Amino acid sequence: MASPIEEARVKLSGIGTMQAIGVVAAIVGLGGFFFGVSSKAVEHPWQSYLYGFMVWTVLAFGCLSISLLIHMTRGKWGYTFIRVMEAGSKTVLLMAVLFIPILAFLKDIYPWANPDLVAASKTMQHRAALLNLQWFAIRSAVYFAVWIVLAFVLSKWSKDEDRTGDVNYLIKRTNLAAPGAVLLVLTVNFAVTDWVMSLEQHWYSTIFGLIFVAGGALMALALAATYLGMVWKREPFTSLLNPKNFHDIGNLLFTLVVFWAYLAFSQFLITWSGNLPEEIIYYANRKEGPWMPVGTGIILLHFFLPFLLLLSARLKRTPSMLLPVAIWIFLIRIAEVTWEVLPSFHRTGVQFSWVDAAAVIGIGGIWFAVFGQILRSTQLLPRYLQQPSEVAEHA
Amino acid sequence: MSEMNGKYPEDMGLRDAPMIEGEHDYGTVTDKIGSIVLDRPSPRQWYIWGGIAGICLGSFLVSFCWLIYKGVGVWGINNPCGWGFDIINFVWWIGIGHAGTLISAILLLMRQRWRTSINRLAETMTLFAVCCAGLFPLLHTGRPWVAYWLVPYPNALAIWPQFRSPLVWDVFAVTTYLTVSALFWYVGLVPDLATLRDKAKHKLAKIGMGIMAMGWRGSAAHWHRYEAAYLALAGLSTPLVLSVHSIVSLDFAVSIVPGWHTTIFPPYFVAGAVFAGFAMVLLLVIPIRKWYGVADFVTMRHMDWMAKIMLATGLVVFYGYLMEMYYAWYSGNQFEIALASNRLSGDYKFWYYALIFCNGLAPQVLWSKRVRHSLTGLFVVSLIVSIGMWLERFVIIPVSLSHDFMPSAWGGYTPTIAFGDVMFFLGTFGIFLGGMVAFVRILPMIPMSEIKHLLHLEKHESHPAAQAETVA
Repeated sequence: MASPIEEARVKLSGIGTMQAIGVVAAIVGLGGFFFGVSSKAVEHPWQSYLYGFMVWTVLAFGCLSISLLIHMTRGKWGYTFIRVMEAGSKTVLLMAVLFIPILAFLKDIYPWANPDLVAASKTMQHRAALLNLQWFAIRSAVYFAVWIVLAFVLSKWSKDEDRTGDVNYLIKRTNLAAPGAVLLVLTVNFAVTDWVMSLEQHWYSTIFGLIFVAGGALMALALAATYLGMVWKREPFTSLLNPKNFHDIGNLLFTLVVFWAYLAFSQFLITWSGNLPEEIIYYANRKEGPWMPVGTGIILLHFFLPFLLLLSARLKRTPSMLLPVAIWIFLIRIAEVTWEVLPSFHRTGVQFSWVDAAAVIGIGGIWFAVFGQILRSTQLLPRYLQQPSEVAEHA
Repeated sequence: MSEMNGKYPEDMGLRDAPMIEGEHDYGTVTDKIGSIVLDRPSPRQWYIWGGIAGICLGSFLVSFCWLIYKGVGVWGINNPCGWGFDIINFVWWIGIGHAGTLISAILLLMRQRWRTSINRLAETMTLFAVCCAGLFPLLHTGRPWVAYWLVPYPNALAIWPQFRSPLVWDVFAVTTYLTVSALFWYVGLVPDLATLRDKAKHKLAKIGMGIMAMGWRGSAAHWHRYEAAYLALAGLSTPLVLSVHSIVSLDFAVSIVPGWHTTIFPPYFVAGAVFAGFAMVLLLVIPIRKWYGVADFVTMRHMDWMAKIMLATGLVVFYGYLMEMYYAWYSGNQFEIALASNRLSGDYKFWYYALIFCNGLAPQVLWSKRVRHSLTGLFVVSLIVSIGMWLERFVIIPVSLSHDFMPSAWGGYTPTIAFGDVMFFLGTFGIFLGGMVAFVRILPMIPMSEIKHLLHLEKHESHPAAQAETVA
């Protein structure tokens, strides 16, 4: 007899709507962006592109990190949304393609690609051994290669396990996910060093990579919680999910919110106390213009608000209450990446232009359209989810 | 039921192994654990380790008295290395305590049942480790009799501690840590103390256990309050796992000394603390379970989990070493680069490579299931890690201080041995070992009440009452 999970080869109508919105956003956003490029609306339009690219890349590797976590721990708490995280992870391939324009327009984006600036700075001359087009491209290719292999192989084994019922895939998934998690942290660290930290001419911070690892995982989990919050009313999800599952996901969101804040605050406190010119510039710059209110807003709305809300067990156990919090975390994550990336361009005048918005919307549109397409071709619940009671009896 | 069901269980090995081995019921649990305290004569090893602890305590008393009489000049600290063994040992001991807190608090909140057998031992270890740790900064002040000046209290001179100094944060962090850990440990003991009170034959034991059990009768109301208090203390302890060692790391990181001022320090110190702590738990548990025959409760599954946590935290620590080196280069800052090259090729390079071996390379053998399931293997790795974590603090503290900004201010660090640094450090082992030796003799080292609860859960796991509720 076929299990309820098999029967419900879930095809959610919402996926089509999400894709349609994605396609419209992609057309409008990228249309706007290229209009901005051609009309020279801003001085360095490809900076906006990098910004848009980073927002969604953080989500892509965030999905990979949650997927690795579930595979590594064999956490049944994650089996109801593992396919969504696997689909999100696979978008790293899309991000690899979208990375190509960045290589083509390096000079528009990075100070180290500008010979005049390099000539004027000893630090940048020192870094030139690694920060040059060739090595930057090679390293970026390595990061993407690692992510793509992890995302696609894990997803394949996860599906093969479903197809064959062969338990060896379970062991293989765990055995790949554990070293995979180590590789992910290392590659994300160096990737954000190359792609974001190197926007600053002198600044550096050893914890910066971890802030992105935690932030990415938080954004991806917020996406997962949003998904579950939207589907739980339909079968077979209603009988699969119980308040305890939502409570666990709420707790994990809470943990990641606190962990992100802990890392971000550590960086701030140590930099502020040291008050060294090459380091403090990062925060001094973020005290100017709109970034001060944005930064304050992030402290209040990215940390305190979700922190206080997620303290409530009732909220975490009630999907209709957890849903808006998850959506909120997802959105505020975009604001946080904005605050990390945009001020590092050291723009004079307008700090956030409509070209930036167009790039984020456009690339986000493509992301959701592709993500939806991957979801469509996927059975949304793995067969190894098995019995409803097992979801409840997670470790 | 799906046809796959039959294929799943065997592969997991230890994963689905029971957490309590052998045939046990509530009575045998009490007999097995309670009798260690009440009836059974101590094994020979207990006397040997008691003797070693006594020798170390003697060394502590002598070096302590000499220190108080002469002052901190008997230690090897001097310009430019004003922090030496004292601060290394402070950080090392306090780090060890973290495993206890992680096991008792975080694993409880995460509903990890495997914590049950080892939490009491780990919490006790935490208490004595924090006591050893606290001694060092206290004595390092040079005038421990006025240590209360570190506490902000209204006084006639209106003098307050410098709140912007992480050394003052340390005072708050460590005292909170000790208080909460002691409370947690004691609250967990109460039901067991009552059991021992009821079982004890000796009058003195009956009275002593009776007083400490605070009138526990095991009524539903008692259990209800106990569970609430235990959970609340777990909630309070959880942030302490992160905060205490983060604040310790800030002692260094908020300065601008190269090798100290780096933003990765808080998470990297916390991971290092848990890493060292689990190594110490394993060093204690492996022999104790054998000597006292409690392998039914502390099974290979527990060892496997502890080894995995050690591997994971060890990787974070190794990641920290890599980041320090990479960003020293990336910074382009001459002092950072000089520090990195000093570690790699300076006077103390041997210790740096030893550190990389102990904390970076050696723990990688834990990827292998064979090593994780070998008691000898685990013991050796834990010993290497314990040494490595001490070396880490040595490399961070005096080695960074010895070569900071101006070559004219460079110097070296040599600890004193007799009546000084080394003897005092050995002395703290006397406190630690003496405490542990006394503990296993007079209190139940494994929480009987929790084991019984676990036994109940393991036996009735598949009971239909455990049916899932559905979303309302």
